[in-house]
Amino acid sequence: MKRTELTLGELTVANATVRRSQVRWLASDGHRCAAGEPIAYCSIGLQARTRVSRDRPFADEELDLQVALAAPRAGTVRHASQEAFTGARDRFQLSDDWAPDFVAGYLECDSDAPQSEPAMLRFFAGRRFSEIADTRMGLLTGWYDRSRAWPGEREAVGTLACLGSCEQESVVLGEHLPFSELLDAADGRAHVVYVPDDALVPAARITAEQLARTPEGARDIAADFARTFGTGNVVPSPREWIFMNAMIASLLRSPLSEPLDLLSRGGVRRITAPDAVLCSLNAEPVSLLRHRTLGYSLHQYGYRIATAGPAVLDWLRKNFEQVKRTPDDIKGDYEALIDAARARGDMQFLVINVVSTFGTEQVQRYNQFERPLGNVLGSVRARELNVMLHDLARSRNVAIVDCDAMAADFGGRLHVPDRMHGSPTLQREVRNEIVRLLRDRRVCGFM
Amino acid sequence: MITFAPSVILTLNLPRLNELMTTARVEKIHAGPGVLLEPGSAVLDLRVDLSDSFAHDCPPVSFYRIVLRERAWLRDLPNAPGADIEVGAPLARFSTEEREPVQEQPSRLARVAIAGIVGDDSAWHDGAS
Repeated sequence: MKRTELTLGELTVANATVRRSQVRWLASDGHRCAAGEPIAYCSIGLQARTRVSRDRPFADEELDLQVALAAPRAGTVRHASQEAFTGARDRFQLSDDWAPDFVAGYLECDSDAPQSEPAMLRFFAGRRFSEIADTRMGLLTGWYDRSRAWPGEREAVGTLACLGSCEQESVVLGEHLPFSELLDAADGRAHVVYVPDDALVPAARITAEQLARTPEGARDIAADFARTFGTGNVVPSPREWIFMNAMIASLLRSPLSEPLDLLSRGGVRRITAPDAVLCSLNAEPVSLLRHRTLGYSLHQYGYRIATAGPAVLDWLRKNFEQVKRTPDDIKGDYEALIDAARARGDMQFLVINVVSTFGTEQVQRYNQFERPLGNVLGSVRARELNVMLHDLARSRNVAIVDCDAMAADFGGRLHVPDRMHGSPTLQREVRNEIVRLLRDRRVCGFM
Repeated sequence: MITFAPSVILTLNLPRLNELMTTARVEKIHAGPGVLLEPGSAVLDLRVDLSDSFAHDCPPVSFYRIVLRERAWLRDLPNAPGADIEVGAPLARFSTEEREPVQEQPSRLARVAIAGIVGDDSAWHDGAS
């Protein structure tokens, strides 16, 4: 039995000192781990050696930049100290220097392991909805409007941006550590970004408008919101301000054109566009909200609007109109989005279709329902959207993640009873299909 | 010899629209008591929440419409919009004759079609100007 020291290894950033919190264990002392399995993590901070610049790396994620330490080989985990690092001070990212030869723990290995070996690094970053939304309880445990992960041993070369409805969350973030299943299925150089639908549901038209929005346009929206919300008939509660501020803040960002910093052993690199985008047809509503004077689009799920509060509903009713969206309208939105995104660089698009099987539905005659049927019958709407997606696949070379077929194969009643939220089995299949499609399309990081 | 079709009392109980459901909420009523409904008439819309209406992130909510498949007089709708109904509980009672007493035991279940519909949970239209 060989005892190998698990060190941090080199991590250098130009013009900055890398600092870290204490190492916190994901694996218990005595746990038998596999090679590549994350067993510990810490938060890190990049302390500028010169004047702090607004354009510094990770400027909007520096409060939640973290790194997982994965075992470089299989073995039995031994903690370096029996002291549990869980105090408040231990969690701050500037509590210690990143020393390459610091021994975080040990691996007891059967093979001819070296005396000392650096852990394999996997980075995580979360951009908080608000600086006060901090939850330092684990890996990416805060409230983020964007979270992401990438490997640190080799430079990440391929970025997948995931913007969709809630069925994506467990597919992309996985069942265990955030992003672990998706990154493990890639080739070790993939960077995955997840934009949740907490505050804003990313229908294609909204994402296209975000991509095209000028700073002046963003200022107009922010100024109009500041002027009109809170001056209506209903005084907003603090919770309603939080809800609406999160929604407007999300609206004024552009997930497909924001620069993203990537840290690896060799330093920081900045990318300006993803290589692939994962969308969901479930994010497309029958009606989209359109601002009556400024013309921008907004979408949030009905249940969220219903529970957000009376001032939110009052403001939305006064300032927005509901615009019906046919499948052809949605196809046009997708085409506009894809064309605008590809004008910035080569970008693959994958779209998860909708589950169309309604197990208990018994419709004998369709003339019993108002026209157009797709505005009334959920199953017809779902099928129309899925057919539209085939047209889009032809017109814009989009890859279809056929969740509808997978749900039918597994059995929708058991694996996706509400046609939205999948079982672990279905989620795993959807995840595997996403990786397969990315590989087929030769997206870097997934080949 | 002339024979007359006997009048029949029909009932509509809440069917199990989803294996995991325990209740449904009456979302909208399309017809009132005393009205003759032709085949294809919508009776009511139901909202099924698999989280049993507990606070839930992204509640698994579906909407259904129940449509009558035969000609009948709608005689009784015991539940108002917003009422939560258990599976198997009565939703409506019909008769094939306008004035047939409906206190009697129903002869059978009404023939209906059940369709999953596109619902709106936002309360957007409640009191909207």
